[in-house]
Amino acid sequence: MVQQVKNFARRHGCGLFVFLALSLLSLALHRSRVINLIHCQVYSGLTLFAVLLFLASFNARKKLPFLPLLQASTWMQIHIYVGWFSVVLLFIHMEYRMPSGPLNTTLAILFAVVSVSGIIGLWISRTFPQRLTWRGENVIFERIPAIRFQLKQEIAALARKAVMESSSSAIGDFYVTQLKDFFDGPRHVVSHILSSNKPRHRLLSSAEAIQRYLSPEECNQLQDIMELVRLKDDLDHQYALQGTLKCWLFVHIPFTYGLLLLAAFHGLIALAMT
Amino acid sequence: MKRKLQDFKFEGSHYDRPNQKWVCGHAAEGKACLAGPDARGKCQATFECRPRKDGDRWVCTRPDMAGGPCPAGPSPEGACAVPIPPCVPSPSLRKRRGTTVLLVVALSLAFILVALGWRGNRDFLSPGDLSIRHFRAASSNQCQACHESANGAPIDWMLSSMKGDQALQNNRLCLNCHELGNQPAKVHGLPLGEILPLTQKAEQRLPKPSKPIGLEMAQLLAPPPPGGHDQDIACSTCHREHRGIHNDIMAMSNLQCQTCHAQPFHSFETDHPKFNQYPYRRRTQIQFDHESHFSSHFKDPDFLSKAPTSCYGCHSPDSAGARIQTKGFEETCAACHQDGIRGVNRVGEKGLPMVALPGLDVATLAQHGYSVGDWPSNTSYSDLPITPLMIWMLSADPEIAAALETLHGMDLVDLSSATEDQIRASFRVAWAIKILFYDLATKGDETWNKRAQPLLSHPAYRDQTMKVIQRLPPLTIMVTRTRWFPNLSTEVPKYLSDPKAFTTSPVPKTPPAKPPRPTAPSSTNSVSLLPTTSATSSLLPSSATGAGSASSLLPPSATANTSLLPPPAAASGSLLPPASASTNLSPAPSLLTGPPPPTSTPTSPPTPSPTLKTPEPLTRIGSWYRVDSNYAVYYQPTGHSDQMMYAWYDVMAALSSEFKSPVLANLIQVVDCPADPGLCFSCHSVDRQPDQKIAIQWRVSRPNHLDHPFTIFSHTSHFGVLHLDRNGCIECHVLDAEAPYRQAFAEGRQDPHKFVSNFKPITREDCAACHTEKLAGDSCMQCHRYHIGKFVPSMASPIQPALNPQKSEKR
Repeated sequence: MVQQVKNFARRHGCGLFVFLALSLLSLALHRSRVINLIHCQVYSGLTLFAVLLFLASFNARKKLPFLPLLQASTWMQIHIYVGWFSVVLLFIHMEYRMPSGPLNTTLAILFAVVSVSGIIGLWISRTFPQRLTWRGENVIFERIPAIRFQLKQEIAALARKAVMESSSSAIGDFYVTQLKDFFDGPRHVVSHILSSNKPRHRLLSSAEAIQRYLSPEECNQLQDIMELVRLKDDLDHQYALQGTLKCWLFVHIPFTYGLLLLAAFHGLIALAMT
Repeated sequence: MKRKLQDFKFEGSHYDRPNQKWVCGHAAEGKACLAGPDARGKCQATFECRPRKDGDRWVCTRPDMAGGPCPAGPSPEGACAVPIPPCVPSPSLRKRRGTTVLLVVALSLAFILVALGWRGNRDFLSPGDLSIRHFRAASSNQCQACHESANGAPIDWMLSSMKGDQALQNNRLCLNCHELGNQPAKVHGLPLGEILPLTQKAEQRLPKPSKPIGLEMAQLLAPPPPGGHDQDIACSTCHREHRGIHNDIMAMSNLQCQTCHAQPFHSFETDHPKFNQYPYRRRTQIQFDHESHFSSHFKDPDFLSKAPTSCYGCHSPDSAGARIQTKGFEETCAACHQDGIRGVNRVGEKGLPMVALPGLDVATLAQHGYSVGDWPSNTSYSDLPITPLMIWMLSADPEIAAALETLHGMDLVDLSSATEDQIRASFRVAWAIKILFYDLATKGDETWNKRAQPLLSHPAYRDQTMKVIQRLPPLTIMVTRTRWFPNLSTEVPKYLSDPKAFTTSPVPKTPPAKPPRPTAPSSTNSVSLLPTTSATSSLLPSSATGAGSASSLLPPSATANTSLLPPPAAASGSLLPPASASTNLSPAPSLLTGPPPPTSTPTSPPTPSPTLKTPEPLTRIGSWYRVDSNYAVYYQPTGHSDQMMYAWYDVMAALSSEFKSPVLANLIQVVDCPADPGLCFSCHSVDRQPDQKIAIQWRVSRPNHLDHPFTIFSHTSHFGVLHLDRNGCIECHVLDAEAPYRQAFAEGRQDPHKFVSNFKPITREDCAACHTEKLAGDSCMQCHRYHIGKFVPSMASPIQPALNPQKSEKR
């Protein structure tokens, strides 16, 4: 425990300190400007816009890996703490009040979407990789459709074989009613994200339930089918978590650009009317 | 052992490129072609390999990763035997994310364009609701009502944002509705010449306190922009809008107020500057000695029933509850003082002398070769000087004004010791008086108008001057002329045609024949031709020494001046009642030609009327009457609030304010006599204002909605918390029995700021008993205003559209 704290302090101490110091300084500056009857919102707004530009530049940095501009992990740490700082700046800029007016409300909602998606992304990127190691094989995300297709072919072949080699249609019926849809595509994404194994257990329980009606040969075939079910479920687990790891950026990055555009527009209007 | 889903051997594994924008359509089946789609997402699939020629044979080159050489092998022509079926490439995850970015950016741009182009964009772009005070501007959806740069197209807004701070330009728009004086953008709305001395005075008067820590830190971290007292301040510096309908745009913290101040302090309780005679900054408009009334008059059995029982008897809060007002005369003073004002039980004349013929040493004038024609010899019985009305009218001629100035303080009844200049001035003034009477007889009201022209042409005094002139009855003066100067119609034209005919060479000096004087000591008790404010004014019958003055010049047995005069002197009556007027006018068949020549000598006194012993008792109050024994015409006030008296004294104040001539400038001091009929100046004070003009305080202090003082106080909001049910107003207003209150109202005291109140001043400690941060609050804004001065609300509606609304609508 002590070692964990030390590690955490080593990794995050500097960032936390700078974040807290900048936040306190910004609060003090804002309060001072308010007292001295200076148009503090102009200053806090310009600062916030500059901070947003800096945060957005992280994406550009990722596209220019050849530039010797610190490591990506360092950028990530800076991005995280500056992101938290931008939230503090926004509250200062709004003077701790709810936004009012359509444009300002839209801006605030955009900022909230970007911030919350960033926070969720941070949490995902810290927790999901660990969870990915818990179940199944770590497959490359782009290969998952091909592997899924392969498993689908295999389960179909097994079902066909079982029907043809026995007079019973139990396995065939089981495949048609429960397994075919399961193997057709990614399933139970939300359950996987929420770490729920219910769908997996339900399928395996159904398979075990029909076992009593099967001949020993069919039972062996069912075991092969159940193994494929487990593989497919593990594959879905990988797909759900890796997909989430990639898809949160579908919110975070596009809305960042929208936020920057509207913020620039808001700034121009504000400067024009001040 | 668990089955492996991926194969990472080089011969069985694809090299995945997630950065590419397109993915082969067969990839989902695990059969992605090696060529893959091009950069635009088009399928490039042809055959699974390009056969290689090895000698004379074609060899299949399909890689092991794709299954190795095909069994069929290439055709003899070298064509691959396994064509790849074309696919529909799908976008990669990265491509989809890029598309999403473009979509959101496009939506944002559309949002901005719609916002700029939409007719209702004003509302859309608004950063928030306006406060309730600016609700009208919000409802009209007019940004340009408050923002200069909101005029024009949206592109102009963008350009104006590059121009820097435009808050000062927006001040002009604020001032369209808010009137804040001549220099609204200056500190406290005061010109540099006023604010700078205030600052210097505060710096000198107050000890240098330490700044509050919050202010110290604020000025260290974010120093206020450099600027001095003459710097313009934008309205938006303090008033922040668009913060919701319930936002108080006037709220300011104590530190904010102090950020500009040279002498900041920590709190009201500890180091706020001490109060300076608060709230008694000037004497009351109406002289009322609370101490003497409380201790003496209200306890007098004669007045006990009329005395008020509480402060509410005379005072009440105004509608806003801010100020305590004094009730009107009828509700307060009238019960005891009405009769005194009307002259009931007054000894001597109850009227104010308006026209009087002064006594004149005709014999001495004749010795010096000056003839004034007919002059009633017994005018020496009159102890009245030339009245202020006559001085006003005579001074219309600058030469006469100069002559009057020469005669200042002289006794015209005895000119034996006068210099030649004074003799000449006496001669000119005597004829000027006769010309005045002649003009009045021949030209009537035109005479008043002509001589009062300087005041009539002044917009500030025109109304009051007109009131006076309209109330002067010409009929009265006509009759006076016929009785006092019977040969005026012949003498004056002769004098005007040849003034030198009335001057001859001086006669050798012999002891002058003095006119008969009523009393022996009259030679020392000189009567001045001009009224003065010095000891000579004590000879006025009623103003300076009260009603006894006239009597003192008469034999001790006198009880009524008219009856004690030589027999002819008492003959006069009220001129206003038609019956009596006709009676008195009967000897005058023609006003222009005058009465028939008198049978007696010109110097004989008028014949007394056998029926009228004294005119005053028969005269209605608020009318004019003549007393021939005094050679004077009087005005008797109606009582309190007499309009003639208002106008008359205002005219005197105007003359004293506007004219540099010593004769006229001195008039207000002449008339400012508390005991004069009407007793006006026993209560109403005469102030000399900062611009040196004279103002007579006819009314008690009333809240003026145009006034915006620096310090404000609401009385009614304190009533509930100060246990007023126990102590009443004296909880705060403590009577000071030793205060010399009356001194400030002594004659000639015209500076309202030199005074001592009847009440002890309220101190900071009195207020700080409740006004701390935790109790009643100690915000600057509770007691002080920023915008100070006298502001006339601006009327935003132009007159023309209001008169013709249909036309304005068409426009």
